[in-house]
Amino acid sequence: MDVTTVVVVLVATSISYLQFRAQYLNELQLIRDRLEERGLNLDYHLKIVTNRVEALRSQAESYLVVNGNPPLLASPYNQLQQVPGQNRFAMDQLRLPLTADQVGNLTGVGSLQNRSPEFNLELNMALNLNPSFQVTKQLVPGLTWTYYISNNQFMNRYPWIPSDQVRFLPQLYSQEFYTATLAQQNPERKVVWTDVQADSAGKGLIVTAAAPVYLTKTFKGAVAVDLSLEEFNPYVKELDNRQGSLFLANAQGQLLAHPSLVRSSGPLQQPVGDALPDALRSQENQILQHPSMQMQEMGGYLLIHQSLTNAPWKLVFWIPKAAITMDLVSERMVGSLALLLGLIGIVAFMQWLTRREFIRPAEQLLQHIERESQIRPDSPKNSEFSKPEIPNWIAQGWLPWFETISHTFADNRRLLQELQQREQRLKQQISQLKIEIDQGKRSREFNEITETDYFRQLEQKAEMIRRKMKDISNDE
Amino acid sequence: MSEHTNHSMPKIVSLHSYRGGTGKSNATANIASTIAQQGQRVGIIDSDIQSPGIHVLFGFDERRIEHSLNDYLWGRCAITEAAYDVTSILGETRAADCGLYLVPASVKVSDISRVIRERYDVDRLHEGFQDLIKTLRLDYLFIDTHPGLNEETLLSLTISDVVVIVLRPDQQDFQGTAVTVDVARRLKVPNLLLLINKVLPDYDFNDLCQQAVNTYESPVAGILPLSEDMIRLASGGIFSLAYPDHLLSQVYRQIARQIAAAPPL
Repeated sequence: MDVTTVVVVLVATSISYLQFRAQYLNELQLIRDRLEERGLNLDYHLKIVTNRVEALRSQAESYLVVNGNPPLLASPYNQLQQVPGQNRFAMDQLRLPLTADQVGNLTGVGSLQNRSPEFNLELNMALNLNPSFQVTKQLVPGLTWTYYISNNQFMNRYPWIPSDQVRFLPQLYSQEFYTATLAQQNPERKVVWTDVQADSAGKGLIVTAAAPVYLTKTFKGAVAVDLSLEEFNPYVKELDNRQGSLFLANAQGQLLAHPSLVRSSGPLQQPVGDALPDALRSQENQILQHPSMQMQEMGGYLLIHQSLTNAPWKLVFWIPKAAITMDLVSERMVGSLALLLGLIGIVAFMQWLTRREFIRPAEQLLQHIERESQIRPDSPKNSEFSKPEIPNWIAQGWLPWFETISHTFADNRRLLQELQQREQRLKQQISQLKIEIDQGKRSREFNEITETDYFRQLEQKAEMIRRKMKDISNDE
Repeated sequence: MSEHTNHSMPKIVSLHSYRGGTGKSNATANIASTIAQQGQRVGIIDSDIQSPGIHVLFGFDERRIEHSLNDYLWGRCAITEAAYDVTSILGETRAADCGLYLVPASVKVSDISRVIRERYDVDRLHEGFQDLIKTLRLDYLFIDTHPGLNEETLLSLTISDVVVIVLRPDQQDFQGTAVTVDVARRLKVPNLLLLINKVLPDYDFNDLCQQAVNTYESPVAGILPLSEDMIRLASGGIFSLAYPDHLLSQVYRQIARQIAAAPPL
C-alpha cells in the first residue's frame, strides 16, 4: 500500500470518525431532548392533578370559613340516609335530580341525628365538593377516585359507588393518603404523593395526591385524587427504537411506570433495581443521586434521569452504549463507510491502473533498455534478422517505445560494430606500417638534382664557403 | 663561465623537411629554446622566407618587426639590426649567460612576392650568418629552412654543422626524405639526424626507429608522438617551456643533447 492510499484511508477514516462522533453526540442530545419532553408532558399531567387537589382544598376551606354559622342540612346534594340496621350512613339511594354522575357516595360511621353544627358544616362542605369532583374527573385522565375524608369519620368518594362495596372505614385513617396529610408529617400543608398502594375498591395499583383541609388551625380532613399506575405507562413507552429502557420511579425506590414490569394488577412492590440492567442493579442509589439531566456512563451503559417538578419522582432512561454505536454504524454510518470503501477502492483501482498502464510498462521499458544495452555488437542477437525481445504483453501505446529503443540500440550497435571494424583495420594498417622506398624513383630524382650544372656549381660554392668559414675560424 | 666559450666553433643547425607541414618550425623553436635554457647563446633565422611563421611561436608581435631578414638580404640593414632578443621567453629559471635571438622573415605580402619573384643573394645570407654568430657571440645558429630542395636551401645545408631532417610517418615523406638524405650526403653534410614527428602513439616506436635507421642509414635523433597537448597549445607558445615535464619536452632535450654532441664542421 503506497503513501497515497494510506493518506486517503487516514483522511477518510478521520472524516468518518469525526462524522460518527458528531452523530453520536447528536444522538445523546436527542435522548436528552426526548426525555425532557416526556418529563414535561408527565409533569403537566401531574400539575393538573396537584392543581385539582389544591382547588378542592381551597374550595373546602373556603366553604368552612364562609359558612361560619352552621346551617341545617340544606345542600341540594344532600340525599343522605341512615343505613337501616347499621350504625352508619350513606347516600346509596339517589333520587332525581341527582344521578351517580353528579355526586359521590358520602359514607360515614354513626348517626346523622343530633350532630354538632361543625359536623353538619363539614358534611355540607363535603357534599358541595361534588361539582368540583366532576370537574376533576373530567380534567384528570386516569383518575380512579377523588374524595374528601374527614377526621369526623366520614368521606365523600367520587365517582359514586354503593356503600356495600366501598365505604368509610376507620382503618382508612392509618393509610398513607391520610397520615401524610396530618400536621405532624405535613406541617407545610402541601400536596403530598403517596407510595404505590392497592386500591381498596379493586381498581389495581394507584398513587394518591392528597392535601390537608384546615379550618384555621384545626385539621378537618384531607382531599385526594387517586391515579391508576396504568395512566403513567404511556409516558415510559419506548424513548427510541433501540435497546434502551425508560421507567418512572419514586423516592422510595418503587417503580411507578415501566413498559413491561408495572401493571395496575401487578405486585405492589416493584423495586427500581428490576428495571435496571443486571450490571447496574447494585448501583441504584448512585444512579438516582446523579444530577438531573446529566448523562452518566456506567458499566457500558449510558444513563440519564429527570427529576419531576410536581412529584418527587424521577424518569430514568438507560441504554447500552453499544446500541447507539451499532445503530449509528448500521443506519447512519453506512453511507460514510460506503464512501470510505469506495474511496479506498478508487485509490486501489487507480493504483492498479497506474501500475498496469504506466509503472509496469516503464519497468519493462527499463528492463528492455537494460537488455538491449547488454547485447554486444558481435552477439548473434545483433543480427539484422533477429527480432528484438519485446515482452509478450505490454500496455497499449507502449509498443512504439519498445520498438524505437530496439531500433536505436540496433543502429548504435551497427555503428559501433562499423567503428570497431574500422578501428581494427586502422590498427592493422598501423601495425603494418613500413617505410617503403621506391629505390628507382629515389635514384632517378637524386640524379635529376645532382646531375645538373646548377648542383655542380652548388657543390663548388659549398666547398668554397666551407673553406672560407674554416679560414675565418682559424683566424679567430 | 658559459658553455659556448669552450667551443672552438659555433654550430649551425638546419632543420629541414622535404615537404611543408612536418612541424619543422615548431621543432626548431623548441630545440633552440631547450639549448638556450641550458645556458647557450642561440640564434634562430627564419629562412623560410616564402612562408615565414616561427616568430608566432615566440609570441612575437609582427608590428614590432622593424627590420627583417628580407631587409638585410636587400641591403636595407645589417643582420644584427634584424635580430631580436627573445631571451625573456625562457623565463626566470634560465641560466645566467644564455641568450636567444630571432631573425624573423617579413610577413608582408609584398616582400614575400618579391622573394618569390626575384629570389635573393645566397652568399649575402651566409655572410649574415657569420656576422650574426660573431656579433651576438652565438654558440648555436638554428636555421628554419624552406621545405624542398631549392638552391637557397641546399646551400644552407652545405654550411650546416648539423642538419636535422624532419619527417612524418607518411609514404611521401619517406620517399622525399630518402632523396633529401642522399642529396645531403652528396653535399657532405657532416652530421645528419632524423626527427620523425607527429607519430601516432599506436606505432611501435622502436620498430619505426630501426626501420628509419636501416632505410636512411642515419641516426634518428628522436620520435615525437602526435600530441593532443601540442595541438591544444595551437602555436600559442614554446611547448617545451610551457610543459617542461611532458614527454615531448623530454624528446626535445634528447635531440638537443645529440645536436650538442655532434662534432663541428
